[in-house]
Amino acid sequence: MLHTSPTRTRRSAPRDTFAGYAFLLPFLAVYAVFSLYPMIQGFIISFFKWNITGAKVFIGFDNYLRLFRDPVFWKALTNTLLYVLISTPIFMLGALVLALIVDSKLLLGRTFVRSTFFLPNILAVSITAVIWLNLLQPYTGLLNAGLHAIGIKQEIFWLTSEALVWPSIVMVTFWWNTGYYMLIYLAGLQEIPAEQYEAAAIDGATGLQRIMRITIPCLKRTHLLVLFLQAIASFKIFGQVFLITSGGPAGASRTLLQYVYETGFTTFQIGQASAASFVLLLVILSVSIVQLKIMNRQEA
Amino acid sequence: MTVASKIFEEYNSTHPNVHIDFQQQDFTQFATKLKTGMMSGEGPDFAISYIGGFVTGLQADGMLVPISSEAERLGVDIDFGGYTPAAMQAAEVDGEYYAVPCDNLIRVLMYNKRLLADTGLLNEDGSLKLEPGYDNFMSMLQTAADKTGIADPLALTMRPPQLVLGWLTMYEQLGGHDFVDLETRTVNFDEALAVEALTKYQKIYADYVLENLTPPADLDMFKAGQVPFYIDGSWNVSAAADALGDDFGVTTFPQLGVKNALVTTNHAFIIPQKNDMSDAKTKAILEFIKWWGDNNYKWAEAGHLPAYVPSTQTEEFANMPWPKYYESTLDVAVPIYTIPNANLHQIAEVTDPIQKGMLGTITPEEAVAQVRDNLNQLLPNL
Repeated sequence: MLHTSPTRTRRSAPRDTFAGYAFLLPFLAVYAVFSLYPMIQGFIISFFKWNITGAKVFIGFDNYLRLFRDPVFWKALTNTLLYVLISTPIFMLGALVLALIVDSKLLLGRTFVRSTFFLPNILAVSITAVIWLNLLQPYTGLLNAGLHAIGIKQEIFWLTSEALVWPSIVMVTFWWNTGYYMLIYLAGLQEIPAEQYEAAAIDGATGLQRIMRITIPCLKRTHLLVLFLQAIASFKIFGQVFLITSGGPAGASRTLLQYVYETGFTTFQIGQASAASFVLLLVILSVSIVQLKIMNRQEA
Repeated sequence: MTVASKIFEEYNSTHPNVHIDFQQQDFTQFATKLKTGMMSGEGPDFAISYIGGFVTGLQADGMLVPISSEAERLGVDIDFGGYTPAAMQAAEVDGEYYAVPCDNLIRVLMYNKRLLADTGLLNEDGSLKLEPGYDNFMSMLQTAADKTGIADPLALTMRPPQLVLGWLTMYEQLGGHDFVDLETRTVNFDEALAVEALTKYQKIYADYVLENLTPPADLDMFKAGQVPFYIDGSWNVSAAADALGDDFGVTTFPQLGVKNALVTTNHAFIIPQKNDMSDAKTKAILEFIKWWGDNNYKWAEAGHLPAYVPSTQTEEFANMPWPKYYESTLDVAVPIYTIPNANLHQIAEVTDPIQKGMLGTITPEEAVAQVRDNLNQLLPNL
């Protein structure tokens, strides 16, 4: 890939600068009103005791201190971090493998297969939750019925066993979301020049060697993009877990966003919920900065 | 169309000078939307809310219209004394009613007559032979297990909030009553009784309930005739009765302790304070609330017990197939213990330890101690 960089930077004329900002203004106005202002308000609220309808009482850092003393918060944070660390490579690898499958020239009905893999992604979270809640039920669920049919008589508690609840959530999320990342990988695969594969084939490279030596290295930027998007999405995991397990059993699958939701909208400790949100923001920001630095280094 | 929609539609069609725009909200967003709507002055003219901490919290913040004095001022004759006393107790603050209950949310014991036919547990008319007392209940389950060959004969969810309501009912039935001291914002429950309640309730699960049973499998298994007993909310009665037909039977939640009691929750009407609310509109709302009470049996179609007791004495209510078998619950209903701004059976500080105790991850003593410590830490912040 050819990169060019200007040897001399021409300073923009003030009129151009003004025009640039004028074009940006509609976006900036919407961003300021609907994102920036609520974010600043949220940060301010994190220093208050407030239940939405009552008076706001300034309590300094108490919400943050209480947060750090709350074992439910630490459990939710740990659950979320572990989910991000464990699920992200699984989702990335899965998306890549699916993309390789649907990109294969040998595959019959490629469009149909691509659509099939992508289809779950268009489902609403509530539909996804209802489907999997029924599939994963003990005693009446389809998955256990299938296992019984092949001779596994033991009842498996996919959603109520502390050991299995997170693998089950990863499985559900994989089914639901991987099609989206598969499409990103597919776009990346189609940018790799066919000549490289032809040259490798002439040199006698096997299929696996071509994947390992050409495909995966050439997708470096795509890997970073998928990693970036997937990690942020994983930090914000909420809907499917809340609807399928409600954070159970006994808080074993409570995510940080569920903690924010429950603190803010079940017990109406809005200040503490805001504090937890900003902790989550800091975590996501830190990870994002590291990823951006890596991406910039790759670009350079 | 939902039962509630039909009732509102009927009111609109029979009262041409009034139009109620009935809007249903997603449960998870309801409380927040209501609160923020009230704050902005754009909230509803009246709403249905859980009674208890949420209502008293709004009242403390000056967000609710005192319904009893407004009804008196505007000449709307609401018979506050006719509602379930337990529910009215939860709606009252300083002698003033800030909410009017529209129902009682109760749990009942459902059973399958076909499965129990040869167990000796049924009377000739198909009703259940069940004497009060924990041992009698356990003995009945054991007999059912022995005679039907179904080792775990009871379907009972291990998920909160039903789990917590069951534990609180057991606590109340064993003679406990106090739970939270709202003055000092600390718990004041009897720990020994709370542990005993959890231990006994957990034993029911351990001995007679399929391991880790959760919705929808509990209802599905009962509907499919795979278990003879099922305890859950009365709102599931219609679904179970439709599935089982003549085999279906239902009775009150069993008396397991020294006294009969059932910890209940209620939906209730509230009227948010609004600057632009005219007396005419307030009066129209109060008249609707009174009409709802008079016609409360209609809401029983959704499985709930009416909150307005005279409505249970109507011919229409008597003709309903199932509520008559569990309406006596109204006599033993106990309102869920109130905590400020929230509902006790829904908060993680209570649900997590109780579920751990039920699953056997921690002992009942540890679970109750965690509930105590969690609440003592939480309550001052609410």
